[in-house]
Amino acid sequence: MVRAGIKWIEYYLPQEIVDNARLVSSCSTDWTPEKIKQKTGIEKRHIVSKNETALDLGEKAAKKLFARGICSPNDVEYILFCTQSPDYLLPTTACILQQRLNVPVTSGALDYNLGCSGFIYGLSLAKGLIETGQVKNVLLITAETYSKYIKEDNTNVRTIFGDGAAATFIEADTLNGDLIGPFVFGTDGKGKDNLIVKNGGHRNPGTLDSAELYMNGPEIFLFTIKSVPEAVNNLLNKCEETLGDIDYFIFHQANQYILEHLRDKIGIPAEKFCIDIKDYGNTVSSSIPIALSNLMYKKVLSVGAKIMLVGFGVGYSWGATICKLNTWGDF
Amino acid sequence: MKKEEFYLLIDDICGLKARTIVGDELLDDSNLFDSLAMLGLIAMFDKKFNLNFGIDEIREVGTVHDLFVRVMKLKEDRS
Repeated sequence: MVRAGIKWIEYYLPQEIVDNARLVSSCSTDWTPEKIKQKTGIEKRHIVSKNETALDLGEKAAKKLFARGICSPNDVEYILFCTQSPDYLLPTTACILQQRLNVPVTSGALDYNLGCSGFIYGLSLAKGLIETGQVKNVLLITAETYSKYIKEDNTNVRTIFGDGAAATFIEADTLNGDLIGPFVFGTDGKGKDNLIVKNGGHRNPGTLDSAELYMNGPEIFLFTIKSVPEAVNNLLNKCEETLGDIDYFIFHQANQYILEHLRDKIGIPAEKFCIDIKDYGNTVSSSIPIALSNLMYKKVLSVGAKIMLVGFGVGYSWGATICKLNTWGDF
Repeated sequence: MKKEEFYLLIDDICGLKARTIVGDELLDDSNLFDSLAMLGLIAMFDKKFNLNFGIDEIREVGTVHDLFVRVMKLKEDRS
């Protein structure tokens, strides 16, 4: 039976770095660099230049996969591109990426608009495409540039978010059993106003300049502490496992305060719980694949280890799954 | 939990010296209870009392003392 499995993940971060000292000096805030670190766990974040976009970041991440020999452009049968900061209203970013990467014109390509849950949904779509025999592989790109929506004096969100992209190659595997899944999902549109770019779409056209990110941090936190533990429980029930059966947990890297609260509330041992946010900030849909990629490079887990992935945020939207890696990159 | 202990927790959440909070502070004072303090309150209620309050719910309660009374009442009702 054909199963979908993650072969490898690469990521790309823009060159420009805004550390806490630079952030504090560039806006009027009574926060100190140390206070930002203490409250968020973040020391620096990477930010795109004016002419750099999510497509550019996604392209560079994908090319790192090719350079490493994970796959070639010619191999790719389907591109999934997750972003909330597309280059154009239309055409589809994934279509432009197909041409930039020289992926065959016989490939499928689509964008989908999700934030911090985006990687989980991407894995689910890729699994569906592969395991129903529609394609043999999927190039899943998550790429986000929230900095385009953040004004310099908006310390509330500027401290948190960083730009970045990840490229995940998912392919058919016939040897190693179930490698991705099961999944649990969640959606609650009543939270739409708590993390939103209100202007710039057709509901409130405004100007591009007025397309600013608003986040109600406490309400997002409240949503998180209600939905994430429940999603974890539901997933464990669905796969008939206990918390102790899971080897490692990678949650969306929202901020350290939220992550530690969730870890303690759910009862996950610290050594099994990923906190990988210090050098990038919250990179939205790329935070889980970036953390997973770092884990793959470090080879800290044995092949076949069960890793729980949980994404949650804007929408509200959330999802969780378990993945097993069949390789640590010894190609 | 005693009132004094509750107030000490609020001192800590608001980044104040111990025993600064006396109880009559208004929860809709956005200088004292900014979004970071609100996040701290939500975390504290969840962790210590297994209660989930939203921002509006907290602000509507009135003062810190009113909040203490409300939390204790909810805790009592539950047990």
